[in-house]
Amino acid sequence: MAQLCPYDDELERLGVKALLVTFSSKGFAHKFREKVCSSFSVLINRERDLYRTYGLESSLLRSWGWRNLWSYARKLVSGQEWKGIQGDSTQLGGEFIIDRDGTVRFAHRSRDPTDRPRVEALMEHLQEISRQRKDLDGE
Amino acid sequence: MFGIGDEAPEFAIPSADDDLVSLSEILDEGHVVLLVFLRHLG
Repeated sequence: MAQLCPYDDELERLGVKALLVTFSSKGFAHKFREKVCSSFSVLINRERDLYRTYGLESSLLRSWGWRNLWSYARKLVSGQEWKGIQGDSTQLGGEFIIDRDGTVRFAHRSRDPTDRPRVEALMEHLQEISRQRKDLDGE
Repeated sequence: MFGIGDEAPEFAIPSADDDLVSLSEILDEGHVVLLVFLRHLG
């Protein structure tokens, strides 16, 4: 989700708090923030109980399917650094948008590692929520 | 399994800076939350 970093100012303008949850170690989380995205909060969930609570699956078959292998191959060919895998490579991720009332407004549970929503689509959801809130508040 | 329109499950977990971060506190501050579960940080 490094693609979110350039939207930092826009997220703040929209009143959005971005929380990245990882089951990697605190050391990797600090490195991630230093090298990739320093402005977002990184939460550590080593036991992955929050992953389970939010319905995110683990799947060996889907995590190492051809689409993911092809994705890794393209990254390596393009010269991206391979930092290895920390923890359980079968754990899948997801994205959720929760509005100020605590209601889930967007939920995406990855079917495989390449199945992530476009950042532009997430931003459109967040902008729409902001517009709706302004309408309700009469601004 | 919860979905769109349901109440988000509450949580309180530590940040990389050792602060305890809870969903309810962030919502009480008036924020919308974008919660991203990473696969790994490799």
